[in-house]
Amino acid sequence: MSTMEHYRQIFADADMVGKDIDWLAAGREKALAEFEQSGFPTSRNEDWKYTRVNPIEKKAWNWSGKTCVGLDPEDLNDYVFERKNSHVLVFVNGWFQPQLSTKHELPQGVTLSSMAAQIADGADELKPYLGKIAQNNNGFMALNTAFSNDGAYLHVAQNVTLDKPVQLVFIATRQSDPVFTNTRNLIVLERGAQAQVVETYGFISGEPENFTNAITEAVVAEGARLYHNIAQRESEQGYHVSTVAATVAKDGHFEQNAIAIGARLMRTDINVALTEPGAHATLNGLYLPHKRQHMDYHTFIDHAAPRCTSEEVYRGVLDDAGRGVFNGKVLVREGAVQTNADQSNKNLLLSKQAEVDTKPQLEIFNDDVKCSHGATIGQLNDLHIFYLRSRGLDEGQARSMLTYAFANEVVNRISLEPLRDRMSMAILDRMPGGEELKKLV
Amino acid sequence: MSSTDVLDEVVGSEYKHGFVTDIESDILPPGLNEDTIRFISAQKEEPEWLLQFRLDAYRHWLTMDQPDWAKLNIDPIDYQAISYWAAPKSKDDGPKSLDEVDPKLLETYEKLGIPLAERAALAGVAVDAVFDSVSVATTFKDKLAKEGIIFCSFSEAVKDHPDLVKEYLGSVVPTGDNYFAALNSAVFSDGSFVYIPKGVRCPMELSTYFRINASNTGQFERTLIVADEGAYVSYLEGCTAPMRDENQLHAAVVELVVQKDAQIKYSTVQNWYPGDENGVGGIYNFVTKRADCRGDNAKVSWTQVETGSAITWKYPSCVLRGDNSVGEFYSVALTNNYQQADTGTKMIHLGKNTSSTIISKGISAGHGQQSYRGLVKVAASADGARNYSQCDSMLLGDQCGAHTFPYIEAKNPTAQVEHEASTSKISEDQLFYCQQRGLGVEDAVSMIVNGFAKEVIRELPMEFAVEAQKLLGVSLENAVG
Repeated sequence: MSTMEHYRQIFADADMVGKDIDWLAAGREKALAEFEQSGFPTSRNEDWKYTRVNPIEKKAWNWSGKTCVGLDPEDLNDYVFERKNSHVLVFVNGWFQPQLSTKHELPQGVTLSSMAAQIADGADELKPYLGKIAQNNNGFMALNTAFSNDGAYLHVAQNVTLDKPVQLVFIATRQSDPVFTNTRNLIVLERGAQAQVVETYGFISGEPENFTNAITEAVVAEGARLYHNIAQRESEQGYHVSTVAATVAKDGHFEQNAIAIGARLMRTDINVALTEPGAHATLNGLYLPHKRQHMDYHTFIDHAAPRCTSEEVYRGVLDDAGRGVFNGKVLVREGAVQTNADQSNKNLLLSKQAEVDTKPQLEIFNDDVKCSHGATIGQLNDLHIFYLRSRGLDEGQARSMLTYAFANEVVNRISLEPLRDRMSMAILDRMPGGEELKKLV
Repeated sequence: MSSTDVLDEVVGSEYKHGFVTDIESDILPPGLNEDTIRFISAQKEEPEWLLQFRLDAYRHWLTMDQPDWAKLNIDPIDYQAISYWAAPKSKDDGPKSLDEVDPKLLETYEKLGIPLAERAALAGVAVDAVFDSVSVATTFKDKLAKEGIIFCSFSEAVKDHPDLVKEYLGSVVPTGDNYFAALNSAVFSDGSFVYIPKGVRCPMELSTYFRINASNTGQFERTLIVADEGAYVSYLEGCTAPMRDENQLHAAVVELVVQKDAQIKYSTVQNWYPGDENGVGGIYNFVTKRADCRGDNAKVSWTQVETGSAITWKYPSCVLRGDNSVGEFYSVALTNNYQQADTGTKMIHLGKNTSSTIISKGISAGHGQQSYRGLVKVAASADGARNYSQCDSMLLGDQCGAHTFPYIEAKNPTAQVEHEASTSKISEDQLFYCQQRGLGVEDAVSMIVNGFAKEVIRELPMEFAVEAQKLLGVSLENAVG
């Protein structure tokens, strides 16, 4: 069976949520047709030049309905922090698990539920947003739209501040069949609303060879503030492809920290549109590929209105035969006057086999702007290593400490303290002599 | 049908310049096929291997598609509607005196301060004795010959030094390298050939401008420069004066071979006709330029000032093969009115301790669109490779655009690569300051732009630099205010 026939077949067999809702079913059908048209992206496509997705394409991924999982909330302690003080929604292999989740009382005007539940109870509420913020720009996105059933839905009403952070935890487990999960999240902040969201992708029980194909759509209305974090800690045998698409309205604020630690092959697209005057976006990111990991971040900030600002800091630490790709595009449209956009991408190459491909890209169609970008590729400074060694550290420790310091530049930008600590520890866990260093930091 | 008519038809251009050529006898009807190529080769009395080279290129070209990845809007080009051979022109063509030349052109010459006698030559006026240059050139030629330097037109080189040409032609830019290079390899008209023998330092700047028989190199120019071990040469291409040409499509190939300890400095000032204020007409300039540093300690330096052409597609590159070899790229590109430029460089680091510097300054005004597109590639073998890139763009006006597409690929942990880019408009404060000191807006802008581009301009040979500065000012006229 060809790839397309395979997906057409499982599409026909799948028992999808909300299949009797016309607009949803039509959207899925259209997306599948789009996928059949485009297929998986190839390296002939400029946006996929450095990332080959053949390993994903070669496998016949299956859609899976809800299955039983024998897990306790404690099993997730690696991925969840401060349950008492945050709303935790846990998804296992793509499906919401209420027994593993913790939902505290929500302020008036806040909806927090699983997408499947929302589709069942009030799909019409989703209609104005779903698929409107994230277009199906590539085969993966179309595939997600066609097959997505569950995910998280967060809606915060006007001028409401969600006091506790929301943790969305997506767990993969080992399964006999190769299964793909098409997670679809939607975050809507009405005027003046505020929320903190953490998306964590992880795994339990062995190293599953899973394929996460996720999309998060976010709407930040006038004056609203969204703090969005992604901790990608998938299995190193797994595949992770995701897109975050956000639109930010007048004086809105979108801040995101993306940390990539796991997955054999990762590709994450972050598309932020600053659609009205005074909108702001901050994008921070860190990728730490080692062994044979491949991590690809594509960010796109669209300055479509006057007086918008954006700031972007991405760092990469590349060890072993790890490969990192960064593509940071900033578009300043005609009429988007008094734009201020800064971008920096720094990379640390630690090994002979490691590779980094970076492309900071500016497209500017108007003169009243201040834009800059910088990219560097380098190594640890010998003098710094010497200094630490003269203070009694051995070379390995000195290198780890300096590498950690380099990576921490991004981690320190995470405003949510418990997450920041978690990420620091997760990074140290991967470093030689990290245990020693933990005592020092 | 005259050549201009044909080409005008090709691109739907309304541009009619003063000097319309009369029907020429030795013009090949439009169209491109193997017979055309055989005809060109036969006309030039080329050896069999060169014909084969052309045919191979042509056959490869047929399998290729015109690239569309550049940020350029190119009207479709009908390659079958171009005439690929025109016999060298006799002196009876062209305007008979300066009176027949477009007054606008003369005005520009005036502003650039070009000597009267040269103006005639530049505007294409047939002058019987071309002022001093013949004698000057002859003197030059003697001097060069004494050093063993070969500097002649490409056709002469094929006749007089076939072994050298055969050895190096296509060795840097293979025939099938890209669409336009393949086209050039198939139908190239003429160009320059330079060979600097071992250990020789060329005593003067070589310039196409001074080359004897520089008459009309045509639209498919081919340049090959070889610097043997320890040699040095500085080569100037083009000219600050506006070059008018009735050929719309230009696809040149420049190959530089730099052997051990040798150094080539290649400077270009490109000021082809950019089209009028409404973007009608203008030259398409699709150039493949590449330098191959074959030996250790080789050095190559590209400097370019690009102010002309309706469309520029050009990426002078350096292959840093030898250990410790150095590649440099200094560029100022200016787009005004409806000009488009997609230009940059490629630095391919293969040898150990190779280093490269990229300084690119883009100035965009009117409806100009400009892109810097560059690649810095550090191969796994390039221990200690070092690159510094800086690309700055300046925008004048709210209709223009400036874009950067820097690709950086590093596979070596000892590599150090730095890239910086900034885009901003001309500073109001600086403008105000200049105006307050009594400078007109236009002069002030010209001065600020020149300051912005100074890092590149100062890499040009002295007399070129002076002209280039004026050129930036002239090209920006009517861009502000």
